[in-house]
Amino acid sequence: MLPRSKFLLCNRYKFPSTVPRIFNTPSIHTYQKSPPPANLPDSPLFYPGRTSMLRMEEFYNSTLSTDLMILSYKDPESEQKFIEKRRKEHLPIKKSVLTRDTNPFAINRPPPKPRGNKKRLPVPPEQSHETIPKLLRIDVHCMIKEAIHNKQHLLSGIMALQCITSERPTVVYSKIGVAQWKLRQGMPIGCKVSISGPPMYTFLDKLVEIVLPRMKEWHGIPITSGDQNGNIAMGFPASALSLFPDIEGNYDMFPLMTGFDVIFNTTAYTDYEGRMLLSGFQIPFTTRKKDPHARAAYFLRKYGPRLAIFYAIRNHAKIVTKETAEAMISSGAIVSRNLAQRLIKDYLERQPSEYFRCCWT
Amino acid sequence: MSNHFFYRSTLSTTAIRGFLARSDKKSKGSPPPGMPGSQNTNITDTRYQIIKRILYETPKPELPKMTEQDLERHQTIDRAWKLFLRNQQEKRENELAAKYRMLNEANIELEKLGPRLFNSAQMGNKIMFPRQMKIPTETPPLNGWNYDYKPPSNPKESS
Repeated sequence: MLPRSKFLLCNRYKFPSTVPRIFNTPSIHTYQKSPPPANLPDSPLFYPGRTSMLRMEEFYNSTLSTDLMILSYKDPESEQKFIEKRRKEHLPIKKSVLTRDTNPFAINRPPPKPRGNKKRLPVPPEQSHETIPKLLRIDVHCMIKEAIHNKQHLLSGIMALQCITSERPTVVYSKIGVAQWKLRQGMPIGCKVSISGPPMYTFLDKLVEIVLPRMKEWHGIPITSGDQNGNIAMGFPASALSLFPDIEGNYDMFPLMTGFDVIFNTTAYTDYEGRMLLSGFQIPFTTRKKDPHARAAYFLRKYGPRLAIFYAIRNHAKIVTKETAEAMISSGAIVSRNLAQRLIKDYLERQPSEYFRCCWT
Repeated sequence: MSNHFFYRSTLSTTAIRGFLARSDKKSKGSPPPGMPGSQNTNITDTRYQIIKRILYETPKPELPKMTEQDLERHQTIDRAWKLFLRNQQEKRENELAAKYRMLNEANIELEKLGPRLFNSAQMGNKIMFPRQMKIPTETPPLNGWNYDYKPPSNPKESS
């Protein structure tokens, strides 16, 4: 029979590993011990506070928040429609689930999956001065492929992220193994860091003022980026890392330049509001190209010259105009006989026009 | 050596720069490029050893030893600063709340006036701030103010 104190020690609360060991000393009195508060300077977790003016934060507080409040104000009708849409409970896959309330065997079962893989997105609150979109956090993440054959490559990524964000990143382990890439489950494969407050605003400042203007062949964050709930993400190539002033100074000391991705977590409930907020911080977004030549080039690149017109009309009929078609044909799209016959059958009911006759192949 | 690290890097940049400048950057004893095993040359890259030491083996910073009076002073200053920030925050919130109230009331009045004006006043959700907006800086720009600026009127640029 163990003495009482040792019995209690066996079942004591396990502290998380991030808590420094000096607070982790065993004692029978440590039932639910939390570390001492970090607001005193003699604690290792003490954060002394901001050391300079945060331009982005002050701009948000003084100007952007008011503008965003006005721009994101919705009239009550459309606001209610949106809340109802988010609150809607989709039909479950199995009809038998609808009798869940009366079925005594269904107690404590997990909630039923919706039909058609529909997601339940967060329901926004009623709009007020407190629901203005705000930048909560930025997550910077780096996946380092070279860490598969040599774990030390991770160190370069960790150092780089620490230099950029001023916070220590954590290591990311792989969730699944892929034999083709020699990846095993549980392998350290990347690093990530989550910043909020002063480090976030300084990082944003550096990004917007220094890095993004100097990036080559980058036209902005894609307008389609977003997780349907106001969080916008984008990826950067390895060349972007060298543009940060923290890394540019010590460029030779980084053995491996990695690309990274940046996720902007906002309190917005739609992607439109998230983009509105980020555009306020002067982050550029690519706009949809309405130029017929640009569109023609896109179709030709995507589908090839033989099938460009066919797929353009089949999939994107609303945006194909006469100018677009002319631009496509002049840049090399082929109007085949079969296509012309089909078009005539579907859209025209008279003789083929001279237009089609002359570019017949 | 202690295993715990600190959430923020504590070495000053001058110390790091001195540390790194004294190191040998090139890898020692690497096999010729054609030979098998040449992919593993990075194991001997000394830069990784340096980075490892900087990240995980920096000396523990000396935490200040606070006396009773020091603690009292610190807490007074801390509370005063937090109170100042709190007052600022409350002032901002009250301003925003008042503006929102006015905005809401104006919208309700407009709705009563008629559907045409009301619908044209709604902004929609696909608007973004213009790229020409300048976030204020502490000092003016080096090139001065561009009085001859013209917004892009090129259809290709504006699309």
